Amino acid sequence: MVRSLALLLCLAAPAAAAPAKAGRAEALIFTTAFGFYEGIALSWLLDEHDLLPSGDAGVAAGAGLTLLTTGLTLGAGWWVTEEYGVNEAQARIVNSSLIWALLNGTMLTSGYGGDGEDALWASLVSGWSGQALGILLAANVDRTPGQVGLMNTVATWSGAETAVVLGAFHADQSGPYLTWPALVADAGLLAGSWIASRVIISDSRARMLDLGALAGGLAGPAALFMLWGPEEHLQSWYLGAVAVGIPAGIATAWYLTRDWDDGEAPEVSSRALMVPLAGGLF
Amino acid sequence: MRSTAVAVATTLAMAGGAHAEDAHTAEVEMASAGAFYGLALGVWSSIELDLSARPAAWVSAGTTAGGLFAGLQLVDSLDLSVGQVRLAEGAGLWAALDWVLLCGELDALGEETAWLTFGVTALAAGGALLAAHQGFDPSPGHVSLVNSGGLWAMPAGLLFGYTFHLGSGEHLPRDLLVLNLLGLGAGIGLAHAYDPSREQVLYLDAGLLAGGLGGGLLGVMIGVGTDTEEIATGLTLLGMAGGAWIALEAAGFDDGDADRAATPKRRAARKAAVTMPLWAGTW
Repeated sequence: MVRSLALLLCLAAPAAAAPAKAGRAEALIFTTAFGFYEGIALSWLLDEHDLLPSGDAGVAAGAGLTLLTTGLTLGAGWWVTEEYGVNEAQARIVNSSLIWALLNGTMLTSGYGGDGEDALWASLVSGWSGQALGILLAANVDRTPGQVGLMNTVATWSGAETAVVLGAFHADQSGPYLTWPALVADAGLLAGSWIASRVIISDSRARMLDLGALAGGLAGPAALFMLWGPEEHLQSWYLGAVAVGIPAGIATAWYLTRDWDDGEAPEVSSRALMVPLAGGLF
Repeated sequence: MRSTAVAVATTLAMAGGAHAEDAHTAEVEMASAGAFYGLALGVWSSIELDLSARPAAWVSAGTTAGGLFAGLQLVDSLDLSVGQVRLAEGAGLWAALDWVLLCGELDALGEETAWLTFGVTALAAGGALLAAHQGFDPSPGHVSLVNSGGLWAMPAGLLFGYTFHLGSGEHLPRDLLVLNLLGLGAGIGLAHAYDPSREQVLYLDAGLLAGGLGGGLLGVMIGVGTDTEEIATGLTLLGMAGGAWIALEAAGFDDGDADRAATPKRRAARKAAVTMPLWAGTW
Protein backbone atom coordinates (compact mmCIF):
# COMPACT_ATOMS: atom_id res chain seq x y z
CA MET A 1 0.00 0.00 0.00
CA VAL A 2 2.78 2.36 0.99
CA ARG A 3 4.76 1.40 -2.11
CA SER A 4 1.82 1.99 -4.43
CA LEU A 5 1.17 5.35 -2.76
CA ALA A 6 4.81 6.30 -3.24
CA LEU A 7 4.63 5.27 -6.91
CA LEU A 8 1.53 7.39 -7.41
CA LEU A 9 3.14 10.34 -5.67
CA CYS A 10 6.17 10.00 -7.92
CA LEU A 11 3.96 10.03 -11.00
CA ALA A 12 1.76 12.82 -9.74
CA ALA A 13 4.62 15.00 -8.55
CA PRO A 14 5.30 18.11 -10.59
CA ALA A 15 8.09 17.87 -13.17
CA ALA A 16 11.60 18.36 -11.88
CA ALA A 17 12.96 21.88 -11.90
CA ALA A 18 15.37 21.26 -14.79
CA PRO A 19 13.95 22.98 -17.87
CA ALA A 20 13.06 20.90 -20.93
CA LYS A 21 15.65 21.10 -23.69
CA ALA A 22 14.35 18.76 -26.37
CA GLY A 23 14.35 21.50 -29.01
CA ARG A 24 17.65 23.07 -28.05
CA ALA A 25 19.88 21.64 -30.78
CA GLU A 26 17.36 22.52 -33.49
CA ALA A 27 17.07 26.06 -32.15
CA LEU A 28 20.86 26.46 -31.98
CA ILE A 29 21.38 25.31 -35.58
CA PHE A 30 18.95 27.95 -36.88
CA THR A 31 20.36 30.62 -34.59
CA THR A 32 23.92 29.92 -35.69
CA ALA A 33 22.99 29.94 -39.38
CA PHE A 34 21.12 33.24 -39.06
CA GLY A 35 23.95 34.78 -37.04
CA PHE A 36 26.36 33.85 -39.82
CA TYR A 37 24.01 35.36 -42.40
CA GLU A 38 23.74 38.55 -40.35
CA GLY A 39 27.50 38.97 -40.40
CA ILE A 40 27.81 38.40 -44.14
CA ALA A 41 24.90 40.76 -44.91
CA LEU A 42 26.15 43.50 -42.57
CA SER A 43 29.67 43.24 -44.00
CA TRP A 44 28.30 43.59 -47.52
CA LEU A 45 26.19 46.59 -46.53
CA LEU A 46 29.09 48.28 -44.74
CA ASP A 47 31.29 47.67 -47.75
CA GLU A 48 28.66 49.21 -50.04
CA HIS A 49 28.87 52.42 -48.01
CA ASP A 50 32.69 52.31 -47.87
CA LEU A 51 32.62 51.76 -44.13
CA LEU A 52 34.98 48.81 -44.31
CA PRO A 53 38.67 49.20 -45.19
CA SER A 54 39.61 48.08 -48.67
CA GLY A 55 41.64 45.01 -49.58
CA ASP A 56 42.77 42.34 -47.13
CA ALA A 57 41.97 44.48 -44.13
CA GLY A 58 38.36 44.70 -45.29
CA VAL A 59 38.13 40.94 -45.71
CA ALA A 60 39.55 40.45 -42.23
CA ALA A 61 37.14 43.02 -40.79
CA GLY A 62 34.18 41.37 -42.52
CA ALA A 63 35.27 37.97 -41.22
CA GLY A 64 35.67 39.44 -37.75
CA LEU A 65 32.22 41.00 -37.86
CA THR A 66 30.68 37.73 -39.04
CA LEU A 67 32.52 35.83 -36.33
CA LEU A 68 31.15 38.32 -33.82
CA THR A 69 27.52 38.06 -34.98
CA THR A 70 27.71 34.25 -35.24
CA GLY A 71 29.31 33.96 -31.82
CA LEU A 72 26.92 36.41 -30.18
CA THR A 73 23.77 34.82 -31.56
CA LEU A 74 25.01 31.33 -30.71
CA GLY A 75 26.05 32.45 -27.25
CA ALA A 76 22.74 34.20 -26.61
CA GLY A 77 20.80 31.19 -27.88
CA TRP A 78 22.91 28.86 -25.73
CA TRP A 79 22.44 30.97 -22.61
CA VAL A 80 18.70 31.48 -23.01
CA THR A 81 18.00 27.81 -23.75
CA GLU A 82 20.24 26.70 -20.88
CA GLU A 83 18.59 29.06 -18.46
CA TYR A 84 14.95 28.69 -19.44
CA GLY A 85 14.85 25.54 -21.57
CA VAL A 86 13.21 25.05 -24.91
CA ASN A 87 11.01 22.19 -25.95
CA GLU A 88 10.51 20.97 -29.50
CA ALA A 89 7.37 23.02 -30.15
CA GLN A 90 8.98 26.20 -28.86
CA ALA A 91 12.02 25.70 -31.07
CA ARG A 92 9.72 25.20 -34.03
CA ILE A 93 7.73 28.34 -33.22
CA VAL A 94 10.90 30.45 -33.14
CA ASN A 95 12.35 28.83 -36.28
CA SER A 96 9.05 29.08 -38.18
CA SER A 97 8.63 32.68 -37.17
CA LEU A 98 12.14 33.45 -38.44
CA ILE A 99 11.57 31.71 -41.77
CA TRP A 100 8.15 33.33 -42.34
CA ALA A 101 9.52 36.75 -41.49
CA LEU A 102 12.45 36.29 -43.89
CA LEU A 103 10.07 35.15 -46.62
CA ASN A 104 7.82 38.14 -46.01
CA GLY A 105 10.71 40.57 -46.09
CA THR A 106 12.06 39.13 -49.33
CA MET A 107 8.68 38.93 -51.09
CA LEU A 108 7.54 42.39 -50.06
CA THR A 109 10.87 43.92 -51.10
CA SER A 110 10.87 42.22 -54.48
CA GLY A 111 7.18 43.07 -54.88
CA TYR A 112 7.94 46.76 -54.62
CA GLY A 113 10.97 46.68 -56.84
CA GLY A 114 13.63 47.03 -54.18
CA ASP A 115 17.28 46.54 -55.14
CA GLY A 116 19.83 44.19 -53.59
CA GLU A 117 20.61 46.52 -50.72
CA ASP A 118 16.94 46.94 -49.87
CA ALA A 119 16.52 43.17 -49.95
CA LEU A 120 19.43 42.70 -47.54
CA TRP A 121 18.10 45.29 -45.10
CA ALA A 122 14.63 43.79 -45.38
CA SER A 123 15.96 40.31 -44.69
CA LEU A 124 17.89 41.50 -41.64
CA VAL A 125 15.07 43.56 -40.16
CA SER A 126 12.46 40.90 -40.87
CA GLY A 127 14.75 38.19 -39.48
CA TRP A 128 15.28 40.09 -36.23
CA SER A 129 11.58 40.86 -35.93
CA GLY A 130 10.67 37.27 -36.70
CA GLN A 131 13.04 35.90 -34.06
CA ALA A 132 11.82 38.37 -31.45
CA LEU A 133 8.19 37.60 -32.20
CA GLY A 134 8.90 33.88 -32.16
CA ILE A 135 10.58 34.10 -28.77
CA LEU A 136 7.66 36.08 -27.34
CA LEU A 137 5.18 33.56 -28.72
CA ALA A 138 7.21 30.56 -27.55
CA ALA A 139 7.43 32.01 -24.09
CA ASN A 140 3.76 32.68 -23.71
CA VAL A 141 1.84 30.21 -25.86
CA ASP A 142 1.82 26.53 -24.99
CA ARG A 143 1.59 24.47 -28.18
CA THR A 144 2.52 20.99 -29.37
CA PRO A 145 4.75 20.28 -32.40
CA GLY A 146 1.63 19.09 -34.24
CA GLN A 147 -0.16 22.35 -33.59
CA VAL A 148 2.82 24.34 -34.88
CA GLY A 149 2.87 22.03 -37.90
CA LEU A 150 -0.83 22.68 -38.54
CA MET A 151 -0.25 26.44 -38.32
CA ASN A 152 2.53 26.19 -40.90
CA THR A 153 0.41 23.94 -43.12
CA VAL A 154 -2.45 26.43 -43.21
CA ALA A 155 -0.08 29.32 -43.93
CA THR A 156 1.94 27.53 -46.61
CA TRP A 157 -0.99 26.27 -48.59
CA SER A 158 -3.09 29.41 -48.32
CA GLY A 159 -0.14 31.35 -49.77
CA ALA A 160 0.36 28.77 -52.51
CA GLU A 161 -3.36 28.74 -53.25
CA THR A 162 -3.37 32.52 -53.65
CA ALA A 163 -0.43 32.43 -56.05
CA VAL A 164 -2.13 29.78 -58.17
CA VAL A 165 -5.52 31.52 -58.19
CA LEU A 166 -3.89 34.81 -59.20
CA GLY A 167 -2.09 32.96 -61.98
CA ALA A 168 -5.32 31.32 -63.13
CA PHE A 169 -6.99 34.71 -63.43
CA HIS A 170 -4.08 36.12 -65.42
CA ALA A 171 -2.95 38.51 -62.74
CA ASP A 172 -0.08 40.76 -63.71
CA GLN A 173 2.91 38.58 -62.77
CA SER A 174 5.29 41.45 -62.18
CA GLY A 175 5.84 43.80 -59.27
CA PRO A 176 3.55 43.23 -56.34
CA TYR A 177 2.30 39.86 -57.66
CA LEU A 178 4.26 38.11 -54.91
CA THR A 179 2.96 40.46 -52.25
CA TRP A 180 -0.51 38.94 -52.15
CA PRO A 181 0.57 35.34 -51.54
CA ALA A 182 2.86 36.60 -48.77
CA LEU A 183 0.07 38.60 -47.14
CA VAL A 184 -2.43 35.76 -47.46
CA ALA A 185 0.14 33.37 -45.99
CA ASP A 186 0.43 35.76 -43.04
CA ALA A 187 -3.33 35.69 -42.65
CA GLY A 188 -3.02 31.90 -42.92
CA LEU A 189 -0.54 31.95 -40.04
CA LEU A 190 -3.05 33.76 -37.86
CA ALA A 191 -5.90 31.52 -38.98
CA GLY A 192 -3.70 28.44 -38.54
CA SER A 193 -2.74 29.52 -35.03
CA TRP A 194 -6.40 29.99 -34.17
CA ILE A 195 -7.37 26.58 -35.60
CA ALA A 196 -4.38 24.93 -33.95
CA SER A 197 -5.40 26.35 -30.57
CA ARG A 198 -8.69 24.48 -30.86
CA VAL A 199 -7.55 21.03 -31.97
CA ILE A 200 -5.12 18.46 -30.66
CA ILE A 201 -3.26 17.21 -33.70
CA SER A 202 -0.18 15.05 -33.96
CA ASP A 203 2.89 16.13 -35.88
CA SER A 204 2.57 13.16 -38.24
CA ARG A 205 -1.00 14.10 -39.12
CA ALA A 206 0.00 17.70 -39.87
CA ARG A 207 2.73 16.38 -42.16
CA MET A 208 0.24 14.07 -43.86
CA LEU A 209 -1.90 17.14 -44.63
CA ASP A 210 1.12 18.69 -46.36
CA LEU A 211 1.63 15.54 -48.39
CA GLY A 212 -2.07 15.54 -49.28
CA ALA A 213 -1.90 19.15 -50.46
CA LEU A 214 1.17 18.43 -52.55
CA ALA A 215 -0.34 15.31 -54.06
CA GLY A 216 -3.64 17.10 -54.74
CA GLY A 217 -1.86 20.06 -56.30
CA LEU A 218 -0.07 17.71 -58.69
CA ALA A 219 -3.00 15.40 -59.33
CA GLY A 220 -5.33 18.22 -60.38
CA PRO A 221 -3.43 19.42 -63.45
CA ALA A 222 -2.22 15.87 -64.17
CA ALA A 223 -5.87 14.80 -64.50
CA LEU A 224 -6.57 17.59 -66.99
CA PHE A 225 -3.40 16.72 -68.92
CA MET A 226 -4.57 13.11 -69.13
CA LEU A 227 -7.92 14.23 -70.51
CA TRP A 228 -6.97 17.08 -72.80
CA GLY A 229 -3.19 17.08 -73.25
CA PRO A 230 -1.24 20.32 -73.30
CA GLU A 231 -3.19 23.21 -74.75
CA GLU A 232 -1.78 26.67 -74.33
CA HIS A 233 -5.18 28.31 -74.12
CA LEU A 234 -6.05 25.98 -71.24
CA GLN A 235 -3.28 27.26 -68.98
CA SER A 236 -5.77 28.91 -66.66
CA TRP A 237 -7.62 25.63 -66.34
CA TYR A 238 -4.46 23.80 -65.34
CA LEU A 239 -3.76 26.41 -62.66
CA GLY A 240 -7.39 26.22 -61.62
CA ALA A 241 -6.98 22.46 -61.27
CA VAL A 242 -4.01 23.03 -58.94
CA ALA A 243 -6.17 25.46 -56.95
CA VAL A 244 -8.89 22.84 -56.62
CA GLY A 245 -6.43 19.99 -56.03
CA ILE A 246 -4.71 21.57 -53.02
CA PRO A 247 -7.76 21.88 -50.74
CA ALA A 248 -9.10 18.59 -52.08
CA GLY A 249 -5.81 16.91 -51.15
CA ILE A 250 -5.86 18.46 -47.67
CA ALA A 251 -9.47 17.42 -47.15
CA THR A 252 -8.74 13.87 -48.33
CA ALA A 253 -5.70 13.58 -46.08
CA TRP A 254 -7.70 15.00 -43.16
CA TYR A 255 -10.44 12.43 -43.73
CA LEU A 256 -8.09 9.47 -44.21
CA THR A 257 -6.18 10.31 -41.03
CA ARG A 258 -9.29 11.10 -38.96
CA ASP A 259 -8.50 8.42 -36.38
CA TRP A 260 -4.79 9.20 -36.07
CA ASP A 261 -5.14 11.30 -32.96
CA ASP A 262 -7.69 9.08 -31.22
CA GLY A 263 -6.68 7.65 -27.90
CA GLU A 264 -3.29 9.29 -27.85
CA ALA A 265 -1.96 11.14 -24.89
CA PRO A 266 -2.03 14.79 -26.01
CA GLU A 267 1.45 16.03 -26.84
CA VAL A 268 1.07 19.05 -24.61
CA SER A 269 4.45 20.60 -24.17
CA SER A 270 5.92 21.00 -20.75
CA ARG A 271 5.65 24.77 -20.91
CA ALA A 272 9.32 25.30 -20.41
CA LEU A 273 9.35 29.06 -20.62
CA MET A 274 12.10 30.15 -22.93
CA VAL A 275 11.98 33.75 -21.80
CA PRO A 276 9.74 34.83 -18.95
CA LEU A 277 7.81 37.70 -20.51
CA ALA A 278 6.30 38.80 -17.23
CA GLY A 279 9.72 38.71 -15.64
CA GLY A 280 10.67 41.78 -17.64
CA LEU A 281 13.52 40.35 -19.68
CA PHE A 282 11.68 41.31 -22.85
CA MET B 1 -3.59 -0.96 -5.18
CA ARG B 2 -6.05 1.07 -7.18
CA SER B 3 -3.55 3.90 -7.46
CA THR B 4 -0.93 1.50 -8.83
CA ALA B 5 -3.39 0.31 -11.42
CA VAL B 6 -4.18 3.88 -12.42
CA ALA B 7 -0.49 4.72 -12.66
CA VAL B 8 0.29 1.65 -14.74
CA ALA B 9 -2.71 2.29 -17.00
CA THR B 10 -1.58 5.89 -17.54
CA THR B 11 1.95 4.78 -18.38
CA LEU B 12 0.67 2.12 -20.79
CA ALA B 13 -1.69 4.61 -22.46
CA MET B 14 1.16 7.05 -22.97
CA ALA B 15 3.39 4.28 -24.39
CA GLY B 16 0.57 3.23 -26.71
CA GLY B 17 0.13 6.82 -27.86
CA ALA B 18 3.85 7.16 -28.48
CA HIS B 19 3.87 3.96 -30.51
CA ALA B 20 0.90 5.13 -32.60
CA GLU B 21 2.65 8.43 -33.29
CA ASP B 22 5.83 6.52 -34.18
CA ALA B 23 3.89 4.38 -36.65
CA HIS B 24 2.16 7.39 -38.20
CA THR B 25 5.43 9.26 -38.56
CA ALA B 26 6.86 6.20 -40.29
CA GLU B 27 3.86 6.15 -42.64
CA VAL B 28 4.16 9.83 -43.54
CA GLU B 29 7.88 9.66 -44.16
CA MET B 30 7.70 6.48 -46.23
CA ALA B 31 4.73 7.75 -48.24
CA SER B 32 6.53 11.04 -48.95
CA ALA B 33 9.71 9.24 -49.97
CA GLY B 34 7.73 6.86 -52.20
CA ALA B 35 5.80 9.71 -53.84
CA PHE B 36 8.93 11.76 -54.56
CA TYR B 37 10.75 8.73 -55.92
CA GLY B 38 7.72 7.88 -58.11
CA LEU B 39 7.41 11.45 -59.36
CA ALA B 40 11.11 11.69 -60.24
CA LEU B 41 10.98 8.31 -61.96
CA GLY B 42 7.84 9.25 -63.90
CA VAL B 43 9.18 12.61 -65.07
CA TRP B 44 12.56 11.15 -66.02
CA SER B 45 10.96 8.22 -67.84
CA SER B 46 8.69 10.58 -69.77
CA ILE B 47 11.60 12.72 -70.87
CA GLU B 48 13.79 9.77 -71.79
CA LEU B 49 11.05 7.91 -73.62
CA ASP B 50 10.16 11.12 -75.44
CA LEU B 51 6.54 10.84 -74.41
CA SER B 52 4.11 13.54 -75.40
CA ALA B 53 2.40 15.43 -72.60
CA ARG B 54 -0.70 13.30 -72.21
CA PRO B 55 0.97 9.90 -71.75
CA ALA B 56 3.69 11.58 -69.72
CA ALA B 57 1.00 12.80 -67.33
CA TRP B 58 -0.42 9.27 -67.09
CA VAL B 59 3.00 7.75 -66.45
CA SER B 60 4.04 10.36 -63.87
CA ALA B 61 0.70 10.26 -62.07
CA GLY B 62 0.85 6.47 -62.01
CA THR B 63 4.39 6.25 -60.66
CA THR B 64 3.74 8.98 -58.06
CA ALA B 65 0.55 7.39 -56.81
CA GLY B 66 2.23 3.97 -56.94
CA GLY B 67 5.18 5.20 -54.91
CA LEU B 68 2.91 6.82 -52.34
CA PHE B 69 0.73 3.75 -51.84
CA ALA B 70 3.70 1.39 -51.93
CA GLY B 71 5.27 3.43 -49.13
CA LEU B 72 2.12 3.24 -47.02
CA GLN B 73 1.72 -0.48 -47.70
CA LEU B 74 5.33 -1.25 -46.82
CA VAL B 75 5.07 0.48 -43.46
CA ASP B 76 1.83 -1.31 -42.66
CA SER B 77 2.81 -4.77 -43.82
CA LEU B 78 6.34 -4.73 -42.36
CA ASP B 79 5.37 -2.78 -39.21
CA LEU B 80 8.26 -0.42 -39.87
CA SER B 81 9.53 1.96 -37.22
CA VAL B 82 10.70 5.52 -37.90
CA GLY B 83 14.30 4.37 -37.62
CA GLN B 84 13.76 1.65 -40.21
CA VAL B 85 12.09 4.06 -42.63
CA ARG B 86 14.89 6.59 -42.23
CA LEU B 87 17.40 3.80 -42.71
CA ALA B 88 15.78 2.95 -46.06
CA GLU B 89 15.64 6.61 -47.09
CA GLY B 90 19.26 7.18 -46.10
CA ALA B 91 20.42 4.01 -47.85
CA GLY B 92 18.65 5.08 -51.05
CA LEU B 93 19.97 8.63 -50.99
CA TRP B 94 23.57 7.75 -50.15
CA ALA B 95 23.61 4.93 -52.70
CA ALA B 96 22.33 7.34 -55.38
CA LEU B 97 24.95 9.95 -54.47
CA ASP B 98 27.77 7.39 -54.40
CA TRP B 99 26.64 5.92 -57.71
CA VAL B 100 26.65 9.37 -59.34
CA LEU B 101 30.10 10.07 -57.88
CA LEU B 102 31.38 6.74 -59.17
CA CYS B 103 30.01 7.45 -62.63
CA GLY B 104 31.52 10.94 -62.48
CA GLU B 105 34.92 9.53 -61.62
CA LEU B 106 34.70 7.05 -64.49
CA ASP B 107 33.45 9.73 -66.91
CA ALA B 108 30.35 7.63 -67.37
CA LEU B 109 27.63 10.13 -66.50
CA GLY B 110 24.95 9.77 -69.13
CA GLU B 111 21.41 8.67 -69.84
CA GLU B 112 22.04 5.01 -69.06
CA THR B 113 23.68 5.73 -65.73
CA ALA B 114 20.84 8.09 -64.85
CA TRP B 115 18.41 5.24 -65.42
CA LEU B 116 20.58 3.03 -63.27
CA THR B 117 20.58 5.63 -60.49
CA PHE B 118 16.88 4.93 -59.97
CA GLY B 119 17.67 1.22 -59.85
CA VAL B 120 20.55 1.66 -57.41
CA THR B 121 18.39 3.84 -55.15
CA ALA B 122 15.58 1.29 -55.13
CA LEU B 123 18.02 -1.58 -54.59
CA ALA B 124 19.71 0.08 -51.61
CA ALA B 125 16.40 1.12 -50.04
CA GLY B 126 15.07 -2.40 -50.70
CA GLY B 127 18.13 -3.92 -49.02
CA ALA B 128 17.55 -1.74 -45.98
CA LEU B 129 13.90 -2.80 -45.88
CA LEU B 130 14.93 -6.43 -46.14
CA ALA B 131 17.25 -5.94 -43.18
CA ALA B 132 14.36 -4.28 -41.34
CA HIS B 133 12.17 -7.25 -42.17
CA GLN B 134 14.84 -9.50 -40.67
CA GLY B 135 14.58 -7.59 -37.41
CA PHE B 136 17.21 -4.88 -37.82
CA ASP B 137 15.70 -1.89 -36.08
CA PRO B 138 18.01 1.06 -35.54
CA SER B 139 16.80 3.97 -33.46
CA PRO B 140 16.32 7.37 -35.16
CA GLY B 141 19.44 8.45 -33.28
CA HIS B 142 21.50 5.65 -34.83
CA VAL B 143 20.35 6.49 -38.35
CA SER B 144 20.91 10.17 -37.74
CA LEU B 145 24.46 9.44 -36.56
CA VAL B 146 25.27 7.37 -39.66
CA ASN B 147 23.84 10.08 -41.94
CA SER B 148 25.79 12.77 -40.11
CA GLY B 149 28.95 10.72 -40.51
CA GLY B 150 28.40 10.45 -44.25
CA LEU B 151 27.62 14.14 -44.55
CA TRP B 152 30.35 15.70 -42.42
CA ALA B 153 33.13 13.39 -43.57
CA MET B 154 33.05 14.96 -47.03
CA PRO B 155 33.78 18.60 -46.13
CA ALA B 156 36.08 17.55 -43.29
CA GLY B 157 38.08 15.27 -45.57
CA LEU B 158 38.35 17.85 -48.32
CA LEU B 159 39.50 20.47 -45.82
CA PHE B 160 42.05 18.03 -44.43
CA GLY B 161 43.33 17.21 -47.92
CA TYR B 162 43.60 20.87 -48.84
CA THR B 163 45.35 21.83 -45.61
CA PHE B 164 47.96 19.10 -45.89
CA HIS B 165 48.28 19.15 -49.70
CA LEU B 166 47.05 15.60 -50.21
CA GLY B 167 46.22 15.09 -53.86
CA SER B 168 45.75 17.54 -56.67
CA GLY B 169 41.97 17.73 -56.58
CA GLU B 170 41.70 16.20 -60.05
CA HIS B 171 39.73 13.23 -58.72
CA LEU B 172 37.15 15.11 -56.71
CA PRO B 173 34.30 12.58 -57.31
CA ARG B 174 36.54 9.71 -56.20
CA ASP B 175 37.67 11.62 -53.10
CA LEU B 176 34.10 12.50 -52.18
CA LEU B 177 33.01 8.90 -52.73
CA VAL B 178 35.75 7.53 -50.49
CA LEU B 179 35.12 10.18 -47.83
CA ASN B 180 31.40 9.53 -47.87
CA LEU B 181 31.90 5.79 -47.48
CA LEU B 182 34.44 6.33 -44.71
CA GLY B 183 32.02 8.67 -42.94
CA LEU B 184 29.14 6.24 -43.25
CA GLY B 185 31.37 3.43 -42.00
CA ALA B 186 32.53 5.51 -39.05
CA GLY B 187 28.91 6.38 -38.30
CA ILE B 188 27.94 2.69 -38.35
CA GLY B 189 30.85 1.86 -36.06
CA LEU B 190 29.96 4.64 -33.62
CA ALA B 191 26.31 3.64 -33.70
CA HIS B 192 27.36 0.16 -32.58
CA ALA B 193 29.48 1.54 -29.77
CA TYR B 194 27.10 4.25 -28.53
CA ASP B 195 23.38 4.77 -28.35
CA PRO B 196 22.80 8.46 -29.00
CA SER B 197 19.37 10.02 -29.32
CA ARG B 198 18.54 12.02 -32.44
CA GLU B 199 18.65 15.14 -30.29
CA GLN B 200 22.22 14.36 -29.25
CA VAL B 201 23.25 13.86 -32.88
CA LEU B 202 21.64 17.21 -33.71
CA TYR B 203 23.79 18.73 -30.95
CA LEU B 204 26.80 17.18 -32.63
CA ASP B 205 25.72 18.68 -35.97
CA ALA B 206 25.24 22.08 -34.34
CA GLY B 207 28.70 21.83 -32.78
CA LEU B 208 30.33 20.89 -36.07
CA LEU B 209 28.53 23.70 -37.90
CA ALA B 210 29.21 26.41 -35.34
CA GLY B 211 32.78 25.26 -34.72
CA GLY B 212 33.54 25.04 -38.43
CA LEU B 213 32.12 28.50 -39.12
CA GLY B 214 33.94 30.01 -36.15
CA GLY B 215 37.26 28.38 -36.99
CA GLY B 216 36.97 29.26 -40.66
CA LEU B 217 36.18 32.91 -39.99
CA LEU B 218 39.03 33.17 -37.51
CA GLY B 219 41.29 31.55 -40.10
CA VAL B 220 40.24 34.10 -42.72
CA MET B 221 40.98 36.95 -40.31
CA ILE B 222 44.42 35.60 -39.50
CA GLY B 223 45.40 34.24 -42.88
CA VAL B 224 44.06 36.84 -45.31
CA GLY B 225 47.16 38.99 -45.08
CA THR B 226 49.54 36.10 -45.56
CA ASP B 227 47.83 34.57 -48.59
CA THR B 228 47.88 31.15 -46.97
CA GLU B 229 44.47 29.58 -47.30
CA GLU B 230 45.66 26.58 -45.33
CA ILE B 231 45.31 28.61 -42.14
CA ALA B 232 41.59 29.07 -42.81
CA THR B 233 41.01 25.45 -43.80
CA GLY B 234 43.07 24.11 -40.91
CA LEU B 235 41.31 26.31 -38.38
CA THR B 236 37.95 25.28 -39.85
CA LEU B 237 38.89 21.68 -39.15
CA LEU B 238 40.07 22.51 -35.65
CA GLY B 239 36.87 24.46 -35.06
CA MET B 240 34.77 21.52 -36.20
CA ALA B 241 36.65 19.20 -33.88
CA GLY B 242 36.31 21.65 -31.00
CA GLY B 243 32.62 22.23 -31.68
CA ALA B 244 31.98 18.49 -31.77
CA TRP B 245 33.84 18.01 -28.50
CA ILE B 246 31.92 20.79 -26.76
CA ALA B 247 28.62 19.36 -28.07
CA LEU B 248 29.49 15.89 -26.79
CA GLU B 249 30.50 17.30 -23.41
CA ALA B 250 27.32 19.34 -23.14
CA ALA B 251 24.77 16.85 -24.40
CA GLY B 252 26.31 13.44 -23.83
CA PHE B 253 26.00 10.62 -26.33
CA ASP B 254 24.07 7.77 -24.78
CA ASP B 255 20.37 8.54 -24.42
CA GLY B 256 19.15 6.60 -27.44
CA ASP B 257 16.53 4.59 -25.67
CA ALA B 258 14.72 7.79 -24.88
CA ASP B 259 13.65 8.30 -28.48
CA ARG B 260 12.40 4.80 -29.12
CA ALA B 261 8.76 3.91 -29.11
CA ALA B 262 8.72 0.24 -29.99
CA THR B 263 6.21 -2.54 -29.69
CA PRO B 264 7.26 -5.54 -27.58
CA LYS B 265 7.52 -7.58 -30.80
CA ARG B 266 9.82 -5.05 -32.41
CA ARG B 267 11.86 -4.67 -29.23
CA ALA B 268 12.47 -8.41 -29.16
CA ALA B 269 13.44 -8.37 -32.83
CA ARG B 270 15.84 -5.50 -32.23
CA LYS B 271 17.43 -7.32 -29.34
CA ALA B 272 18.09 -10.26 -31.64
CA ALA B 273 19.33 -8.01 -34.41
CA VAL B 274 21.93 -6.12 -32.40
CA THR B 275 23.52 -9.35 -31.31
CA MET B 276 24.18 -10.23 -34.95
CA PRO B 277 27.69 -9.55 -36.19
CA LEU B 278 27.77 -6.38 -38.27
CA TRP B 279 29.11 -7.81 -41.50
CA ALA B 280 28.58 -11.54 -41.18
CA GLY B 281 24.92 -11.34 -40.33
CA THR B 282 21.95 -9.92 -42.14
CA TRP B 283 23.38 -6.45 -41.80
